[in-house]
Amino acid sequence: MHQRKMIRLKISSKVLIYFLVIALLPLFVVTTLLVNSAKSQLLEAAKTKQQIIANKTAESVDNFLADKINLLVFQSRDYSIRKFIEPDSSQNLAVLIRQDADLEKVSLLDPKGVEKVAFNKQGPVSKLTNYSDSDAYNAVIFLKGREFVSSVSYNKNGDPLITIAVPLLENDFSQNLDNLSQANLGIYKSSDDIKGILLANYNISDLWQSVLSTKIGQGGYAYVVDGLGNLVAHPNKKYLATHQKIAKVQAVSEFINGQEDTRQTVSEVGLDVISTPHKLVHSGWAVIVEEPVTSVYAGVNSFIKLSAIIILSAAVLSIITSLIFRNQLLIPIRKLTFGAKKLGSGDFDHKIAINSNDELRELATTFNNMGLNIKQLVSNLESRNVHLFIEQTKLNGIIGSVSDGIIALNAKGEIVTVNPPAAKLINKQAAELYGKIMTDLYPWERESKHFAPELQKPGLYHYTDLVLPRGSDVLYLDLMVTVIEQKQSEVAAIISIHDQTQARELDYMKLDFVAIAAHELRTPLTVIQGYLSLLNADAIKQLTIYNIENLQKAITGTTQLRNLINKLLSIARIERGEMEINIGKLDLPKLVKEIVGQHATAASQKEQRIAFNSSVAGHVFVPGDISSLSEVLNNLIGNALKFTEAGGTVQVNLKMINDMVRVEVVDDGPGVPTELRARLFTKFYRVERSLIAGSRGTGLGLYISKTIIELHHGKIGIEPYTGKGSTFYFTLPIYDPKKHGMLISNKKEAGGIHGWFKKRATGRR
Amino acid sequence: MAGLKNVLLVEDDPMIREMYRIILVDRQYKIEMAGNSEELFKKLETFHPDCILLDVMLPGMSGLEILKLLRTDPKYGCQKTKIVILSNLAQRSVTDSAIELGADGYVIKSDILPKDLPEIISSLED
Repeated sequence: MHQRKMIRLKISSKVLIYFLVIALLPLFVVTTLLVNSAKSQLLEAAKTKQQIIANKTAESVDNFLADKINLLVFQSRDYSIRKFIEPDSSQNLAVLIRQDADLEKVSLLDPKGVEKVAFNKQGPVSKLTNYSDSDAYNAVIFLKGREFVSSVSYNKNGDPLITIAVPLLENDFSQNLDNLSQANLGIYKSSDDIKGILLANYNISDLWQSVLSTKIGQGGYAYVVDGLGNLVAHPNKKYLATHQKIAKVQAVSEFINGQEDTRQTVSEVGLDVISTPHKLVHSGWAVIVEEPVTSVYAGVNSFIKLSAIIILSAAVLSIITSLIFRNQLLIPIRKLTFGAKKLGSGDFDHKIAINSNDELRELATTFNNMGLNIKQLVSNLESRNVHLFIEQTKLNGIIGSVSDGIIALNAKGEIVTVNPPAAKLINKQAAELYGKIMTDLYPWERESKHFAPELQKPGLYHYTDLVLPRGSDVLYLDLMVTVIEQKQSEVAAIISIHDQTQARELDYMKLDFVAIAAHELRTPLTVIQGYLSLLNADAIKQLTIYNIENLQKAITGTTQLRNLINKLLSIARIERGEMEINIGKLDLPKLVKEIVGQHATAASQKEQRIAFNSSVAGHVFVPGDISSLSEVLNNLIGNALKFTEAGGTVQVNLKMINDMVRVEVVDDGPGVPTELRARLFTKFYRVERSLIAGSRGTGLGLYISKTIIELHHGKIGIEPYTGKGSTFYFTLPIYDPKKHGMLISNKKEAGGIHGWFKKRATGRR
Repeated sequence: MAGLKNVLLVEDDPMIREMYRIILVDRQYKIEMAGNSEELFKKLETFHPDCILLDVMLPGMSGLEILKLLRTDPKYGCQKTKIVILSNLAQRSVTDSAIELGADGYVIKSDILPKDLPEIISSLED
């Protein structure tokens, strides 16, 4: 639930942000551009307006001052005034003050600055003033005969006052006296030319009223400063009184430094203002028109307000739209999410219903189909799982119950399955072995060397005679390894281990017993046959024929006993794999002839005939061990003679068949019944036969002969039963120096000694 | 019968020892006998055989161990002496070891008769 909420929050906020951006960004940009353009237009308009107003205001002040100065200059030309001729000069002053409402006091000063005559609105002033220390007087002197306009001062009523002083000079008649201006006051060469000063005090309330009442836009105003930055007039009188010197105000200081255009500055109270200074002609003053920036841009404010309202409305609309859109989008998504959760929890039947005719419905349909498919797949898988489980159980049962060890490995050689017999081989519990590397746990050996069974290449491998050390013992094992194509399954190899140890130990015990028993039997046999042979001829002669026969029987018995023991030992050797032959280049017809000859005497005694027939004249060489092959021939011929009645014939034939030589021993005895033939050459047969017909000593010999012939890469067998007699045969390959030369040279020395004693051992029969 | 006339027989079984002595004395061999390794080594101090007939299954040191000593230790003076193993053991492991240790022949006692011995000894002559 929590997660779903988070997703919803994310999507809705995204949608909201998109909508706001789409709706508001262009609006905001356009508004900003419009406001900026309006502002610059307003600024231009304000500047123009300021310049006009500044111009007009300056003009009115200039005109005012020019009128006053011209009038005073005009009076200063009057002879009576210049020469202090009374009463004319007083009359002129009286007229002057009467005619000019602004004029509060007018005086005539002598060149030293002392008042000679003065008038105010009430009439002549009786108490005359010395102006020699006044600014006006000194300024006129200082200005070298030019008129002076004072700063503004205020009377006790708070009315603004200015003083204008005009020097009294000799007329310059070279000039047109009708063209009156402050430029042509008269002749001035030195301060001595100043004959007096006409001093006038004006109440400039009316002018100020007009200047200071100037309104520019909303909050714009005009004020006047003199050339030193002293405030001359300002709409705020209180401010005037306390801040006379305002040269530090930006507009003023820039004006002093010669800037006269319209610009944005900072006012004396720290407001951003647009200001325009305008210099006056007659006084070095300046009218400065200022309007706060806020006031300049006041016209935009309504537009900004309107824009803000529009933007806000757009934002609200966007939010509402985005909410509606979000719901449109989120409800199906929520349905899908819910459906997916249902699916995830295994409810494959859950259907998502989305009615909107769009991609979402398509998605829902696809989703529903997917649910159906998954349901199908899951049910298939489940049934397969059940099947697999049953198989697994069966398999586990089988693996667990077999006595052979079974180990399954994965591709990395790690054990994935192991049954208790396999674990027991290394004294472990099966559970301990899972995931371990098999070759680490089982140090296989073969012929005392480390042995690694094939685990990579797919196929079936059978290894016998493996050794596994376990503590101080060793185990003898056969291995069956099945390596599987590794892509198909987790299991890469299955190893089945057959423990041969017990069987082998039994075998060895049996064989050791045979070997030891044979040795133990041989010692008394040696003594018996040795001492029998030592009976000297003289002693034998004294015996009766009957006793000689008895002695002969004893000797025959010991010979049979010796042969039996030797056969038992041969069997033991075969079983242990110790039976070896010492191959030499052997002339087979010569050997056969020799052996046949050895049997001739015994045969004639039984009135039997024995004959050797060779289809080959001269030598036929075979790679053979002379003593082993002698044993085979003795065996076959001995058997044939034993089963042949008196008067019967044994034939030994030698033939060449391709690259093999074949020796047959044919007798005309009763033959071997068919049912016995199959087992004739097996060791089981010998056991049975030797127990039943031990004295006849047949079976062991055939088993040994078979082994010897096979070691020579030949074949031994019996021809099919024809109802009379039997034909035993063996074949041997003909000697080929290329094939057999190596075998002989390798065995030469050992062959010499063995051959030497064996020849004697078997040569005597 | 020139050559190998001085024979030393090492055999613990008195009956077999006697049997071989009879035949060898009869054939004019000079024969000395020992029943075990100690007796053998003692005999070798005074007797220098041409041929030693050596049994394997002996009390104490085995015939193969004796063979090894005689072939490797010069103090016995028997490094070149002809030595034939005379035993009833026929296991491959024993016969192979005997040859490896330097025996000149290996004879299974039960496979020969006493009268074969002179023939065996004379066959050892170079």
